[in-house]
Amino acid sequence: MNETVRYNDKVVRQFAIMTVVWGIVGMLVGVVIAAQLAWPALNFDIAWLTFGRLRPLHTNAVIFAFGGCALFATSYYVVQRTCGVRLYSDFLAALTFWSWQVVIVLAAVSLPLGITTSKEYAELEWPIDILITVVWVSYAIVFFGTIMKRRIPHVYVANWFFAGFILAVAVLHVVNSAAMPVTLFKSYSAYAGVQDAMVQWWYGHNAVGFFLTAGFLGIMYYFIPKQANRPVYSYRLSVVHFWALVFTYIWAGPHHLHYTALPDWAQSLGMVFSLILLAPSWGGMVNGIMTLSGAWEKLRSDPILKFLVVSVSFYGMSTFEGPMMSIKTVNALSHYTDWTIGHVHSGALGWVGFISIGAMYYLIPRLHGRELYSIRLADAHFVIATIGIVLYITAMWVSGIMQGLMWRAINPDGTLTYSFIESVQAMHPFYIIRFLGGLLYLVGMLLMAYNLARTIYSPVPAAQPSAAPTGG
Amino acid sequence: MALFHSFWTALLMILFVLIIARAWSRKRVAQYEAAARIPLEEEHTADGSGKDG
Repeated sequence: MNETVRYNDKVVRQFAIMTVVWGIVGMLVGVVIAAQLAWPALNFDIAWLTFGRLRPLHTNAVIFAFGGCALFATSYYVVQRTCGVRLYSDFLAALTFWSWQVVIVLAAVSLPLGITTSKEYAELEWPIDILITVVWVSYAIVFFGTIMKRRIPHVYVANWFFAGFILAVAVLHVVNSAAMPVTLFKSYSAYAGVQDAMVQWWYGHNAVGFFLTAGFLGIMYYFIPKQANRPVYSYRLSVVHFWALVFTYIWAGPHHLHYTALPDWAQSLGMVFSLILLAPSWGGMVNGIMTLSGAWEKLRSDPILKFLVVSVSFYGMSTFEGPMMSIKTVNALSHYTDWTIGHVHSGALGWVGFISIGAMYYLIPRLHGRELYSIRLADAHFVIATIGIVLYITAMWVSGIMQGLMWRAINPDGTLTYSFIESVQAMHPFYIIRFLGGLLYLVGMLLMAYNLARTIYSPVPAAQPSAAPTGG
Repeated sequence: MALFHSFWTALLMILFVLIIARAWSRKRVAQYEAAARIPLEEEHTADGSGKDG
């Protein structure tokens, strides 16, 4: 392969920078609503600042704006380098970037205005859903077109995970967003009753499974070997990991509907497949962590590896906790409590957040031909963010289990031991701790933004060729 | 319809077992070892001169 390959890294740079920008915006909104839960007066009685409107803004911003931009950036970067070719279409790649930003801005405007389908993680109304479909089809053409014209015969495993994520999200989005428009700003789901709930949580759980797991595993399988300078611990295991995840995840959605009108057999099926999911998830975790075999000493000095490896540890933790919470008897205690919020955030802040942050610390200096401005700041970011996550998830675990136990406590005469408001009062200290944890995580993101801005605007190009951008 | 679903589920299960058996085949050891090195060798294969376009 002596031909010069001219990669399209402009779109990667754009998505990488917006990952940091939207990360800060989404997490800021998260901190605001965490503060509102501790001090409700902070909504100032303004409708568009209320928790009900800002919460979907927070989830959409962190999942689809922060996480989405990270996935676009990394998948475009990885597919070019592991296929040895430029992106299939520069025009469509640029279209995905600008259209995705329009989607995010439309979400940021419409959700606080109360324009929502009320489907969790699929709140955006039908005109925005159509725009998302256009972006996604363009994304698929660019990604699969690049794979089709590859010069390296083998399709590297990271690309399989990215491909699975792109295909599954396309199907999930189209099926769950099927709706009857009534006006420009209002539509009704094509499904009714329990079928609507089942389709919603088939979508909701697989948004976690494919958007927040498979896509980010693509990041793991490229950036950990790259940063550790070691091949994947077991390539064979990575292949099994992919297929086992794909075959199993799609069935697990009903565990979100335990003890509802959903038929009992469907709930049990969801539980069983959730438990089976533990095997591929932990296989992948072991594969990610063991890739560092023989290079453990790098963890002492390399903040990028710290972010990447700790993210995989959180992946292991949350993929153990998830199957446990899907067991119906455990779910009877955990469901509708803050335990779920703690579980989600150990995955979101620990797994998705840390692996994205690690990838951005890797990518942005290289893409701009600069050395990272400050290793010490990146280390400080790692420590502050880790403390933030621990505060957040432990507060929610304690609060959630306490909530569940208080709600189910019964006096000898059969009456409830605690009123609902007593459980709310008991949660208050933990809401303050959660707010502090989230605030620390946000401070870490601000440090990262400063560090990367100084990196980009540094007048001195990277000295060593290894740190130079491969893509210019 | 139930029969079709049962058949389809069984077919998927067999397909999954075949994929796993293929992944574990000894014939693939060398291929997988080479594949695992793709990220580490890509700058070399791209002649270290990939450029932004």
